[in-house]
Amino acid sequence: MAAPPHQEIVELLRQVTGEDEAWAAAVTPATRVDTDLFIDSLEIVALSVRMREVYGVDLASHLTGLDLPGLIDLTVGDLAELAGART
Amino acid sequence: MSRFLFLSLPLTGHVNPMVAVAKVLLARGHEVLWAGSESFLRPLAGPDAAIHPIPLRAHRGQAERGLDATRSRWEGYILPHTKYTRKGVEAAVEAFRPDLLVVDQHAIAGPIVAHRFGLPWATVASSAMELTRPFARGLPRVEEWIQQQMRAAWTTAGHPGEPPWDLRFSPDLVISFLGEDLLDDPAQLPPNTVTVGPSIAPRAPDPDFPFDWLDPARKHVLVTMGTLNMDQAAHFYPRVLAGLEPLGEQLQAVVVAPQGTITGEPGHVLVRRPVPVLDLLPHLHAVVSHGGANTVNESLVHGVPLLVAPIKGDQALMASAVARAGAGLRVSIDHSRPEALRAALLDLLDDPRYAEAARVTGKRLLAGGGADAAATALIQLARRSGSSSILPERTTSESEQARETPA
Repeated sequence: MAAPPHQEIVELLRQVTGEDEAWAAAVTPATRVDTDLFIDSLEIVALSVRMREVYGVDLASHLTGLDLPGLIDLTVGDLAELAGART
Repeated sequence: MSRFLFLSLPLTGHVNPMVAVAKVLLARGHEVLWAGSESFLRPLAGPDAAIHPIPLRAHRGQAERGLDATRSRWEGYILPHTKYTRKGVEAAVEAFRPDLLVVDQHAIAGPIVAHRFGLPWATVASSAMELTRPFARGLPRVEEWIQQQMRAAWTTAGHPGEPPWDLRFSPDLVISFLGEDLLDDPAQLPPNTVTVGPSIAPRAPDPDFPFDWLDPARKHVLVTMGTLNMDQAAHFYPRVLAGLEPLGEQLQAVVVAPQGTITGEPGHVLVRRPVPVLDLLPHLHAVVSHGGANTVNESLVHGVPLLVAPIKGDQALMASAVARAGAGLRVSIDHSRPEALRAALLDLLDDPRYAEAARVTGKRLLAGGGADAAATALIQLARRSGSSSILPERTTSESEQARETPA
């Protein structure tokens, strides 16, 4: 499965944060999930649920495998890649 | 009578609960010496407190957010602070010969020095950040990284091998100022933890605070985002103020912020800093906060519900705990617009169940015994450890040698 369009992931992020279209428009594939968007732990849980529903991938489990620099530098593009990773 | 050496970090929220415990120990005839910056500690610990001065040095600090804040807390703050304060703590031990070191969970120079002198130490935890080791479950490689940082501090201090214990947890006694209601998973606490709950000492009154400004016909809200967080909460204040703007007929709000940082506030909003929070709480119907442990503890023991917008660190854990207890609501500091903040605040003020849950939770927290119970546990440990507190000359000279060893 190919990685979904960037906008799909941004829309999921917009839904779990309750933000608006202007916020979403500023998010690029290089935007960092933790460091730039300040997605908090509750929002990660909600995002994890949505990504499992929509793409069948396990974000929470993916995060347990990342080290501290990897988590800090995790980007929206990385999420899109994960979403496309289901085999 | 026993001698207690108190060691914390220069963080108000960490020192305040320890001040309350120190006062109980002194009242029961024991001796307490603080090791740390006199200019920082004196206003908090009081004019009579004994302080072994270790000058304050600016470290890079903790400006970042998210997991970057975790990285900077250890790399930019805890490790440099440990390295910088260690010799001062050793000097305090040699001069004071304590029976027991009483150490904030992040003041890991404490256990490093205690090990050198063969002294017992007790951990006190004023924050949920490390207490239940939340990273160990959700993000195990972050917990591993923290362990690496502590090993590095141990090695830098000249100790061979690995620390014999997790430096955040005394093997003898861990005192938690957070009650079980405020922990994400109390089952994760070490078995030697005594959960005493809020440890609150009276603070000096603020004779200038205009208590007569408060109109008894309206409800009262405090907005306080912590002593360190003005920059990080800068985008939140305008949204809160916009949320409060149309509510002047039903409430008055005290906003804690340095004068001049907020302008054009409406007449029902008072901007001040500092604010005598403990004296104000009996007048309040809700607190809007970042979820600092002290603010949460103090609000709940006064039966005041909270709207919590966590910024970083353990504040998210506190926010969720408050919501879980039914004593308030958690909102996003970054992603909540004024209408959502207003709706949440009105919900807190209008639905009596929040205040009731805050009262019930506050009572449960107080049942831990607070500063009194903490002092009792510390006295028992100091007695149990007995007369091993006399420092033999040999240990001192070994320590001198260790100091000569380049790190």
